[in-house]
Amino acid sequence: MSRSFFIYTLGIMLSNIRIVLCVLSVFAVSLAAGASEKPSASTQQATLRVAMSTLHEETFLPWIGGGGRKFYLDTIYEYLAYLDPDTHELLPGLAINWHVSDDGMLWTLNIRRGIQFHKGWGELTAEDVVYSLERLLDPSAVSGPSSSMRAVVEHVRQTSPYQLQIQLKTPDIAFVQGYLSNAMQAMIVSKRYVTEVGDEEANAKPIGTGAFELESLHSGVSIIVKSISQSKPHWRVEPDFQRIAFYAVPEESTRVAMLRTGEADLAPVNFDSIKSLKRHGLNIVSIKNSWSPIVRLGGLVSNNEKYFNGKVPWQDKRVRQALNYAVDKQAILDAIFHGEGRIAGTDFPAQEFFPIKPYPYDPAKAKALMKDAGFEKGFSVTLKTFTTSPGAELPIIGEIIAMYWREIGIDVRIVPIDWISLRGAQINGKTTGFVWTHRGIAFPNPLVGLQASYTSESVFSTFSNDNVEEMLSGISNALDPEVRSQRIREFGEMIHDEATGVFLIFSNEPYGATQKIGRWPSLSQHVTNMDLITKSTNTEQGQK
Amino acid sequence: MFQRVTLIIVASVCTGLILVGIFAPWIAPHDPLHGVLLDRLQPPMWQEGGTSDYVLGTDRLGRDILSRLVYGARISLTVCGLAILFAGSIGSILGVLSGYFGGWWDAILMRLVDLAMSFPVILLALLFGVIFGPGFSNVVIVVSLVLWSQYARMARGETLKIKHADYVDLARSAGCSTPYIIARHIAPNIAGPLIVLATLQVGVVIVLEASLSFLGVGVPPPTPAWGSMIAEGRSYIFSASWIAIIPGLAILLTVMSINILGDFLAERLNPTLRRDVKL
Amino acid sequence: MSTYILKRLSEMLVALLLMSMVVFVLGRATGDPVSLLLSDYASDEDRARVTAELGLDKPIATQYVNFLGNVLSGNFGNSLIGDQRPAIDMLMERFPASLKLAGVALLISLSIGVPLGVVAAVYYGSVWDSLARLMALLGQSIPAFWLGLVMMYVFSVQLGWFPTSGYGQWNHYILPALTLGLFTTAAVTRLIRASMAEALSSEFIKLNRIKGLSEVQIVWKHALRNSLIPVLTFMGTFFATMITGAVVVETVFSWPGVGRLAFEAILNRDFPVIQAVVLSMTALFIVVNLLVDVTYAWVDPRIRLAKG
Repeated sequence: MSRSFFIYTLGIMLSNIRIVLCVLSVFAVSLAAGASEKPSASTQQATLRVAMSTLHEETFLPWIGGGGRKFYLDTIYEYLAYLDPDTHELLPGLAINWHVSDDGMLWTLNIRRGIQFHKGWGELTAEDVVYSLERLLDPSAVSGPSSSMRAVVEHVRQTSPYQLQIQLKTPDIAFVQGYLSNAMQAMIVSKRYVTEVGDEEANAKPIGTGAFELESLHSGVSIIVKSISQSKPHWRVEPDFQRIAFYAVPEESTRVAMLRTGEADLAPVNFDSIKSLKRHGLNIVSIKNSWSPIVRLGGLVSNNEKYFNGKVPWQDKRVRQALNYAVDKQAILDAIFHGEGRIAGTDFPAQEFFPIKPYPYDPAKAKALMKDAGFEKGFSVTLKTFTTSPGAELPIIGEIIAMYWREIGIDVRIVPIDWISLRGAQINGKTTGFVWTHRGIAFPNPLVGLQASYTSESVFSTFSNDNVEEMLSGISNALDPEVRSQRIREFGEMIHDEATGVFLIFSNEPYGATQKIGRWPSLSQHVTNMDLITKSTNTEQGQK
Repeated sequence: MFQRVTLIIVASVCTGLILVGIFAPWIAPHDPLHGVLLDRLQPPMWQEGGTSDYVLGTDRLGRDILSRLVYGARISLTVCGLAILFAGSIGSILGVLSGYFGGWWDAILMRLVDLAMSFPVILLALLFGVIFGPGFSNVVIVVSLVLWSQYARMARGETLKIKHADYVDLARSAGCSTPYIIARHIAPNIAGPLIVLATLQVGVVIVLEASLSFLGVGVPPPTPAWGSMIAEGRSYIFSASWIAIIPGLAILLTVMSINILGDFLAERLNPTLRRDVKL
Repeated sequence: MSTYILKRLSEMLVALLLMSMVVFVLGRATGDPVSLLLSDYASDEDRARVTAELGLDKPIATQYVNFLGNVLSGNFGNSLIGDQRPAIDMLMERFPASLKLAGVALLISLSIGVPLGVVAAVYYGSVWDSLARLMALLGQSIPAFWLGLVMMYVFSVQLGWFPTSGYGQWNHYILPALTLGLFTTAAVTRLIRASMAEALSSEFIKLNRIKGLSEVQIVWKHALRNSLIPVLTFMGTFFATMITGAVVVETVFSWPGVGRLAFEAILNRDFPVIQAVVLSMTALFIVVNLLVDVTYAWVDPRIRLAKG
């Protein structure tokens, strides 16, 4: 009885198309009713909407996550020193001034007075700075620069309410720039707040000193920060936008579509999208010299057996140079990067490296060098490639490199991989038999980048020998800025001559921007300064 | 009449594709792996700015899309063929044995089939892709792992239906050996629905391959597979749409032709069959 | 009836157990969690400490038993990324979004697929039929990401009807749900067409015709009622596939669902999260199928007898 009744009801319900339509229309009406809560035009105008490929870890304490989060964390927290976006000069931040002892190992920093943490958590003092740095130096910290900082810093000590000292293990006259500036991750938190509420809550409701505070986090969707309300203006930033909304939009085409419909005001885009975005009235704003595609060659660390492989053909310097001569960098810059960048003569973008002349495109010379090295018939090589952000172009670059190398007789097998696997292999010394596309980034202190790639003990070591190590300690021991710069440049020339990798482009990082965006004083991939973006005056006039 | 014409068209499309795949090196006007950077993102010849040198335009590396399409036929059809062959033969053999013998073996196999069918397909493929790295053979293995259970389930069902048919009982009482009965009486009689299932899955395989490429674990570059060609073209869908549309049309044409062929086969073999074919 | 349910329940447990083994092994094969948790320059002692903390120094069988015990108490471990939240929390946070999207997509596929299938069956072999079959074919031969991007281009960029992506308001559902629903629409159309065609030629319908019922009533009420049962049995499968199979659609439309969570977890080798997603989604799938089977058996006693 009940069974047949069930069949009947079910059958009638589902089979009667009118009912289905009825249900559907009710559904549609109820959905449409929800539409009325659209944000008003004025809120839209006051919000800067940024579509990024990922929001990374979505965590808000400096020490529990990587530097990828900086674009939103930097609106909430502040740094001891700031790089000037135009001159690259180091300017005072939360620290009003600093000086280093004659041996280059003891730094003294004086803290700016009167800086208040959000929501009445009191004035920022040296105690907060010491606490923030110690949390970053703690072995459990997983932030990017933590491990190299631990290698450099002996201890951090408060000497007065507004002064602290940092004792280093080795001399470093660029320590503030290299570790404490806004290019890194030494954001200052409130000690009282974090210790009172605990890490979990301090992470969920971050308290900083920046011009913005966290309004909402919607995992996988958005992070929204709003400008803090206070009686007197913020000491550093006068926000032009009431809110900044960061959206997670993994697919590039979707970001382009959002720019075109006006759902986003700013979004990283691929180089190939530049032309069509411009055609549709959008602007391109680039972060200059942000990163560098490069091909790394495995097994070249001659003073560490783990990272050395005597059998690879590119152990011969002539082969390495041939690999460089074989590639038409200008063609890649023009065709793939649409001119956004400059061709590179060495590893990663640094002011000191810009004068170094790139290898010209000379396949004949490349072939001759190959012949000299005994590889007239070429050889086979595996090229591994992966995507990063920025660096979505790395796989294409891998394919282009393969095309050029085939011209000089090298048989290239491309293997797509992901960064985590490659990193794992690298740590375990299993990358000595192949080459891979990689990305160099702009370091605030170039020495940090050089130490990662060119010391034998570093897990990311790609090329090293005793001479190289000596040159590196020469840089780190230099106590005069001029001498130091000179030595960094000489090191760059050595890298170029040794052809430690295949150098390609110092690339910009293009963002599509709507007419709403005025000035964006971005400096590098890690110094996006999104809190400093201004509204375009054109639009405002247009509105009036 | 209408049906006959359709059938002829469809059959010639399928044969044509196979021929194109086989004779790719002689048909393709350019090297599918070699690109000219200065010629990248050229539109097809009928669009403004296109040239007859690149009939279907060029991709992001300046490679000729027509040539890649032609070689891609070879790659994609091989992936389809191999995956369906592996999955089909393994699944069918297990299914027939399970249906014929029953018992604990059947129980285990059916649990395995349930398991295979309930495992989230795309996640399984992704896990495999990440663990073993992307590669042609891994794509084939992953796709086979996804597909085999459907053959097993169908082969078992069909075997159960005819296991006690008069002619099978007759063969058994005549003293024929079990392998002989299976090969001679069971296999030919259940082949029809399995073949139809196989044709229906061609589309599934190609689309799956494209999705794998989209997620980064498909046939690795520079090898031109249709699915990976579409996946590569997705960033250009607003600016150079032909890169993704042309291989998309090729897939559509192929899948439709094979499906119509499958429909025809199904109706020839058994008109009530379509219902049993799991989609 | 109860013996049937019991049997199905025990089968379900076996399947889940098998699945937990597969997931465990795959999880172990995806990489070394220790080096993910530690910084690149960690010392060997740190490594040993974390290895012991995670219980990775024990024999693999012990590890599995521990894993199973934890899973039974709802503990899939903590994510290895960022603030290391419990994996199950991350899953539950994303689950509603997936559920809603799959629900709307299913509604769309039914409301398109059922009428299309009926029309195709009633006018079997006609132009309408060919059209419906063409639609069904299209649904199965277009990759979802391609369709999604094209729809975004047409409906968001060109026409401005719907937002390109995002999550929260009603209009965010339309494009992703259409994209996700297309494949299922094709499947529903095929199923309805096949079973309708059979139903229409059955004795039962002939009887109704003789009784003089109108053709509209016969088709939309009596025949369709019978043909919906096979669709019902597939409904569970469709629904579960949509929840996990949405990785691609969720990526294209920036939807914060379970699929994207799993995809990102796989790329990050965040294996507690992978295990949580795969196991709970499989469990969901199996439970839904069980419910469908039991309902079906309840509705149609022949099945219970044949299977039980």
